[in-house]
Amino acid sequence: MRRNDVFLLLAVLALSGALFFALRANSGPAGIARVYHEGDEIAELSLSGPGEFRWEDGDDYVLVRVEDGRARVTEASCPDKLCVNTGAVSRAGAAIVCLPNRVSVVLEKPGDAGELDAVAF
Amino acid sequence: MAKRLSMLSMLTAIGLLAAWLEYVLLPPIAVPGVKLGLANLATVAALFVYGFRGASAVTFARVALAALLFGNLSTLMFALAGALLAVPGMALLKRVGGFSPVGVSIAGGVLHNAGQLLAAAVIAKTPGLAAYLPVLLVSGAAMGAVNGVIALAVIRRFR
Repeated sequence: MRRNDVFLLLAVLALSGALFFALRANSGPAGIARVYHEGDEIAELSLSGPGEFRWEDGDDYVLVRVEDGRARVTEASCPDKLCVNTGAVSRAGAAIVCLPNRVSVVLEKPGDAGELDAVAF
Repeated sequence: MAKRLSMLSMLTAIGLLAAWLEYVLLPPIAVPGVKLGLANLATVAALFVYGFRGASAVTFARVALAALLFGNLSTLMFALAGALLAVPGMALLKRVGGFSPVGVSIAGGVLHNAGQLLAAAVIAKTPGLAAYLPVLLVSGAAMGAVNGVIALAVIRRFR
């Protein structure tokens, strides 16, 4: 390790920390989950009550369940199952994505109009 | 020339083996994209011994072979998205100077994860995926450090 290595590591940690708090400051508990396919909204689920939505296209499917203010993908036809392994999300701004199926679930605050305030990369 | 070719082939094989071990032994982790990325140690070693072109050859050969042997189209796409950012980025850092293989590898891990997340956000048209960025940056740096230390040992034996 050289000195520059340490600086680089600290810079990455500082950036991550700043991003973490910036993203978190903007997000409280979520109220609704919107389901998108290729960027188009296909369903809106309230997180207050139990509910589910199933997207299907031929043999492909994604099952989204909401309950107790949380949303999760319980079943999907994709090979990697990353969406299922993501588990439950509950904060506004959080997202679950099933990439092979191009389906994503995005959580929002109860009153949000459906547009993101800001996008940080 | 023959030595260079055989050394690069060996590094490709090391990278492929590392990728395969990880694929077989490690189950997917809850946060998408967090992984060891052991194969990157071959890229880092190739970069320091044979430069940018050597590192590119080792990386793209490995990515293609891994996708053919135990991946699919989507793993190929994401591996490429990560590599396209990480390999030139690491080469640039090495050129700037003052960084050891460990530092270069840390940058590689971070850039790889950033590239993959960016690709995922674009493909799924979900900017909200940025929420995963902090976790992926930290994990990329941590795994990059681990790989860098191993790469350092590999580089010493190559020289």
